[in-house]
Amino acid sequence: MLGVILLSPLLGAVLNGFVVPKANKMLAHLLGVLAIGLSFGSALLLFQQFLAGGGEPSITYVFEWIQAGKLRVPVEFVVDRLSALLLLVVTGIGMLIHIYAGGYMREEKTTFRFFAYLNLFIFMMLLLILANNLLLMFVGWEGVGLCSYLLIGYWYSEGANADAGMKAFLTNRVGDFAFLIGIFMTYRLFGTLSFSELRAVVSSSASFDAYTLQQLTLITICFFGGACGKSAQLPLSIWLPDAMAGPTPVSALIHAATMVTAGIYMMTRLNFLFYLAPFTMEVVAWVGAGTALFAATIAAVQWDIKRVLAYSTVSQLGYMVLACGVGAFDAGVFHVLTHACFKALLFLGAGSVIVAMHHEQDMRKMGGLWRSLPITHALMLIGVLAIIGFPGLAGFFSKDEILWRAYLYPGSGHYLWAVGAFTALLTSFYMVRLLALTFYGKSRLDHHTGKHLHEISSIMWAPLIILALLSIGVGYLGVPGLLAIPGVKPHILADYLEPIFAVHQQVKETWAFAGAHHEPFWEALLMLVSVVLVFLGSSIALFSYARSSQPNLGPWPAPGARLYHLLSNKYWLDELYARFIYSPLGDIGEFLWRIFDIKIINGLLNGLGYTILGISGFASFKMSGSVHRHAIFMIAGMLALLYFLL
Amino acid sequence: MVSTFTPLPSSFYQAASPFLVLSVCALLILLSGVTKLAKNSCCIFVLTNIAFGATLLGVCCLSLPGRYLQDALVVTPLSIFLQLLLLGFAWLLAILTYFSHLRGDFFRSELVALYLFVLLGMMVFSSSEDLVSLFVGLEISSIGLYTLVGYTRVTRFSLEGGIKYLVLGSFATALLLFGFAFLYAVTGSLQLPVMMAAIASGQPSLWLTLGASFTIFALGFKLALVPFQQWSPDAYEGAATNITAFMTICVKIMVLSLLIKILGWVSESLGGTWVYVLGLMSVASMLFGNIMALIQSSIKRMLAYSSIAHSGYMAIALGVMEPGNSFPARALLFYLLSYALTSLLVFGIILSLEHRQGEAIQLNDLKGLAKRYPWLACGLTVGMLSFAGLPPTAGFLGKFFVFNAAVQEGHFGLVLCAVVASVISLFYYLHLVVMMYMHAPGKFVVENPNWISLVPRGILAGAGIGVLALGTILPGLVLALLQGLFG
Amino acid sequence: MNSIDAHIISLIIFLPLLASFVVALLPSLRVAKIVAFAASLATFIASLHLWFHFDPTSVDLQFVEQLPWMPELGVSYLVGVDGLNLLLILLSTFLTPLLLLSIWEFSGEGHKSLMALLLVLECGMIGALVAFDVVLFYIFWEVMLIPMYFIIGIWGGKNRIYATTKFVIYTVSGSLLMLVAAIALYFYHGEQAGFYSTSLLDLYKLAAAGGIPGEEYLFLAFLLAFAIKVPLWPFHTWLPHAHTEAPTVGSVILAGVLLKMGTYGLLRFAIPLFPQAVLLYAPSILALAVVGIVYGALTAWVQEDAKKMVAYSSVSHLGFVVLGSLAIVGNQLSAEALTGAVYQMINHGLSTGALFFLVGMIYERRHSRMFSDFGGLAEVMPYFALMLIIATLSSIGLPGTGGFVGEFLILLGVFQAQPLVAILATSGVILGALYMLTFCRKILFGPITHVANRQLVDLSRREYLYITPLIVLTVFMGVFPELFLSKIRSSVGHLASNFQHYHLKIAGVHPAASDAEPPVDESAVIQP
Repeated sequence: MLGVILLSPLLGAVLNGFVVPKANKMLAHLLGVLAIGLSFGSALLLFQQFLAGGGEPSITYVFEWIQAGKLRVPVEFVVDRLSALLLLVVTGIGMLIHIYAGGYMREEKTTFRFFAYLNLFIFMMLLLILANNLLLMFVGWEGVGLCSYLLIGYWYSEGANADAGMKAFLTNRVGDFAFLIGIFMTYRLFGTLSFSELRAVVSSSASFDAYTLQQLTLITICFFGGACGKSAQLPLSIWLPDAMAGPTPVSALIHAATMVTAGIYMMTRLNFLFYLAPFTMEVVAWVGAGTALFAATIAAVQWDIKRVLAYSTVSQLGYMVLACGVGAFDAGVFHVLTHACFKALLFLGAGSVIVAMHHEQDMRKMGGLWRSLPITHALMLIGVLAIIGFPGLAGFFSKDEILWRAYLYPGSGHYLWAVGAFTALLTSFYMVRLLALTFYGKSRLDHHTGKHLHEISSIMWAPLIILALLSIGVGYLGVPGLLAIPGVKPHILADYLEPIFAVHQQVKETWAFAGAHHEPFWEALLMLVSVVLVFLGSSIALFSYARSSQPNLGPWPAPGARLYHLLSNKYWLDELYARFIYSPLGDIGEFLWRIFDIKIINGLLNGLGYTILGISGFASFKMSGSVHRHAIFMIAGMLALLYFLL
Repeated sequence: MVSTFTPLPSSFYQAASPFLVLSVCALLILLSGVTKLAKNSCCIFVLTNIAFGATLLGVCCLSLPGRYLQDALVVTPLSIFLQLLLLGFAWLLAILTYFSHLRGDFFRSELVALYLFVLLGMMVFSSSEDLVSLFVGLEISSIGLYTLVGYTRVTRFSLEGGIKYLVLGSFATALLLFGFAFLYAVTGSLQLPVMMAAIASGQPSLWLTLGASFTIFALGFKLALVPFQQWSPDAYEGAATNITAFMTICVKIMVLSLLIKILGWVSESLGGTWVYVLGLMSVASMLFGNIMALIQSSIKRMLAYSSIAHSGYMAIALGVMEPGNSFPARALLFYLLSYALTSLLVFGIILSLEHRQGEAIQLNDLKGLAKRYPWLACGLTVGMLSFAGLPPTAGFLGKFFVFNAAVQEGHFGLVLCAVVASVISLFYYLHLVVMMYMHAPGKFVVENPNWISLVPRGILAGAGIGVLALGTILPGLVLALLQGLFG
Repeated sequence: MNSIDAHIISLIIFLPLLASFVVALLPSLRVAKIVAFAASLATFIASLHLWFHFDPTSVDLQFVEQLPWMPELGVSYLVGVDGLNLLLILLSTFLTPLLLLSIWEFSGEGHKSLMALLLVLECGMIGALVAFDVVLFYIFWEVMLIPMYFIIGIWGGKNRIYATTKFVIYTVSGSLLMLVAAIALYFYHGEQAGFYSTSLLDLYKLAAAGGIPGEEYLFLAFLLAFAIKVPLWPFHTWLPHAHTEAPTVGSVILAGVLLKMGTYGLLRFAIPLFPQAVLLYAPSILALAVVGIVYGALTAWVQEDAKKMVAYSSVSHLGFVVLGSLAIVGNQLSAEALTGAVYQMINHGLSTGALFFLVGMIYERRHSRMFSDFGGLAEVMPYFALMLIIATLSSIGLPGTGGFVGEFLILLGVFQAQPLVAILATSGVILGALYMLTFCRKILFGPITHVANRQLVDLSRREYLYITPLIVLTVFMGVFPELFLSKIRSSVGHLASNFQHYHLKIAGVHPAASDAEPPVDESAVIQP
């Protein structure tokens, strides 16, 4: 079973890459979809065991990977409730996107390469999810980074795309640097890298001394650094917006649904370590909240449709990290689930709009499309409602759960909640703004595109329909206890994931848990507040952008002009990185090479050689000459020697 | 008092047979000059071959070890080995000269006779332990060499070399005589073993140090060690190539034969300063020779300076000799053997490359030699690698043994200077290889390639293979042989 | 040990030598090519025999051959194989047939002599790897140098003479110092043990018995010789010159195996012979290695010439290997780091070899190595692009390629010893990605600027033949490293755990015998 899940994408990648005849686009598409479909099918079967409530985590050993000194790293896969669930998400969403990609990439000539990379990506992601030790997860971790590099730079003949790919890979690599240091420290502290052994050691030891706790904090900080790199959190969030250079299905699959959530998955997998490091959790929470706010503000001023979605992904990831930070890992996973559905829906919808508009991505040239693209408009509407947290849809349940659990977080819980709520307001503003600019208001299309506007083919909107249904249905997995909806048990997902989390009793009391009965009054009040914020944000957006008259396409009016300038330049983060990291490295490199290498070391060596040549030139000038000079030289030499002897 | 004339024992005649045969043949060749046979160089060549063959026979089978004429003639396995070396290399050089452009100039009866007399002098020197016969041998060889250096008479430069060698050489001979006189005065006897015993027992006196040092300086002149080295570049460049080769190889063998015997005793009795002085001389000559050779443009002058450097390397082994331990002497002999073989190879190749007028080959004449004469270039490369002391060749093992001997005595400073010098030497040896392999061929063309007929080609190939074999397969054998020499 | 095992190593050493003479003398070029290739292939098959019959569990020396060479001095022809040099031997015998294949249609003149020199080079390399006698090692060490000198000198680029002279003089001056140190060690052992021998097994016993007076100087002399060869940071300036001027085949073998001689020498000679000095100098050497890693990476990033860039990347990669071989935890070397170092040597050989081959291919097509002349080749040469990307990934050390396994083990081991050094070295991982991806970006991606690049033809069948084995092996070593690690684990563990009193004995000869009766008969020994 596990073999089928893992090997079919790999097989698909290899077949598409090397074996299948290149020209046949249809075969490439079919093969890609089939490979992931097979994997999805077997994932469903696997999920069956866990649905029935039973299903102990099973570890399957394949072969010995690395063995050196005391280190023993086998290739082992673990299938437990968490990985089974994420298997479902990755293969499910992956299959839908593969189907959609067939249509999207129709006029490309090397689609075999696209599907090969996509299948390889799915294989690497599955490896990451199923790995039972840190090193194997790291293999998947970097493999996924590689595939995103290849896919972002898919249209490599355009220089900017290749640079965007490289930027993504390098930023991920910085994250991997921190991950590696974490791995080394774990090995030094525990002597093993396998999750099951780590979990056993941590839960079995009665208490931890100060040194271990301090080491644990360092380890978790490093792991969080790795997660930041992969999930584009604040210090390393610069690469995700540029990753939009890749084709839209890639953005949908990798940069919305699966890869970016790897960081959250890793933290959830290592929750027993994170729970022991309260300081790290504080940092994680605040970085999450900060990133959410930061990205939301920028998204509000973007004009490119995909960039808005990119920043919204960074913002939603901020929410998930916030959830992990406050110890609500299950809420984080729940938001991963819901976000995967509606963000994939939004991206693919945007993709359809772009295809319809002949690769035009600037919203200022769109408008009033709801008449000519009815299906896309309907689907996008559902997606937007889901993401802003419109009551009843997926986003509402998962985002509120996170906000509620943030509020309960002892210490700075209230401030976190405030930041989260304000970001929710911004989210609803920019998402509805996107909807308004593309579909409502006066049509700003130029004549040519206007004439050729056509609805997307059935192969593209079929997966969208499924995603829309999911965006609505998935929310009901985590209904809060308060809203007793008939026939739906509250907190289904939380109970399902409960055995994953093992909080050590030494820190038991610091964390607030789902189902812990707090005053329901506060929960209801907060829910009400978030609903109000949602309506407030969307009404502002509708008012300023959806009116039939000419909407304000330039910078904000007077008071906000400077703020607008700051936001539209993305807080000058890219420029800062370039000036303080990229170019100094280049200058040091130049200096080391030109000056140090050539002038100093080479100069020294050549100098030595030339001095010896100089001596010989001088000596030969002195030495030539007549016999009597030689005789004098001989006598002088002899006398000198005699002097020594006597 | 009348010395009674005691008839010489018959064994003396047997021991002295090589010398007698050689002198008789030389005289015969000299006399043949009168007849019209002398015009024909081929006939003279045949006569020389006979002379060499007979002497070799004499040395190999007839000589029986013993001390004759109050040590005037001492035949020991060591002296036989040295004589064989001298004869062997002289013979090969004569053959190579015959097959080269120098045939007409060299193979005149009086020159060949002179060549044989010089050889006779060297053999006498290397197999006697009596001051007088030593001096006689040295004189015969030196004076003969002075004239041989200038025999080509064609270029002004060769005459100048010959004159310089004569003037400075005579100065050195005077020094030697002075030294012998002091030694005789102090020890009261002419025989070396008796003297050595006296020196060892007696306390070091001023006269003794003076005598010993003068002798060593004179021999140092012959070896071209630093203070006395300036004659050699001009003499080597001036002389015809075969004489240059003869000088570098045979003179060194002759001088080292004596130094091996006496240095053990001298350094023992004269104490530490002596080792220090010899060390100084060797370091100076190594560095001087290598540095001066860097910028030479003519090959022979470059090889002259490199021979000074090699004398320096040998002097290291001289410096560390002591009576008990015979390893430095064997290291020295091995180094000498490898140096002689490599010089034979290199000078043989230069001989076959030279033009009729015989002006010295410049380095950039050799550009691109590898393209036109790959085997000559390969031979020259092997020779250069051996001079430089790179492993697969005999030169490396020679240096290795000498370094071994020096480190055994703890002379790290000496060895480090030797290392620095050999790194510098690497540059100009490889410069030659660079010229041959890494440059496009210049206008230089060998005048008459058919000179390189079968026999010289065979000799050169033999020398080349010998250099490589000595570096890899043979050393165990040769060391065992040398071990036998010292009993 | 049956009869084949007794002579297999001498066969592997001298078969290429014999073949090189035959090739040099053969009149027809075609026959010479076939003979050369057949000989190198035969040597590879013979070395496979070593691989299959190697007993990975035993720590002792295997396939040993011992012949008295200069009994007078105690020098013997002693060759053997153990965990440390087995993989390197296989690497060199594996690379040489590929090299000969790559110059199959060599247009320049002197084709036969190039092949002959390559075979002599192979003989020198394998000899140096298997030699367990200091003098024998030194001779093969220099025999390795001379063919390289000619390969760079005759078939090199514009100012090849400067490059090759500098290369030889730099290396020889280092190794001469090593020779002097070896002689001093030889004499000290003579006085200590009573009999004179230059075989490594006896010298190890000396080091195990207790420190040698003036050990630091001897260690520094050995270290200098190997540091120049590795090249460790301050001594590396000859490498870019040698690589840019060498022909493709010269660069591949230089980076592939010759650089490993330095690190192998460290493991075989410097560390076990002078443990106290190693403890003393390890931190400073580690510092040099880390500087080398960062320095190599940064300078590689700013290069305009592809070969120079790969050369500087070798400085960076070998900095890792030196790091791995000197990670001291407590009073032992870290076994993980040492295994990683030995493994990384092989990976670096393969990935850098592949990179040089690929750069050579585009050099043959465009006669230029400057990045500015290329761009967008992926469009025109897709399979070349695929090979280049895989080779780059291996040299970055992406998991799934051999580079990762080696680098990870080294960093893991070094972290146990010196966390700060490890963190600095791990930054090399980022810089590595930086300059290698820039390399790919400049050559493969972006628009095709030069019109000449449009007509470039993709890899020919022959080029496939000699590049694919390297690429496949790199990936194979990343996915199934256990096959190789199992062979080297026991020897490396033995060196790591007791490097302070390291001893090796010949397999099959029970220890009592080899200790009592010295390998050299007593009588012929000179009295000190």
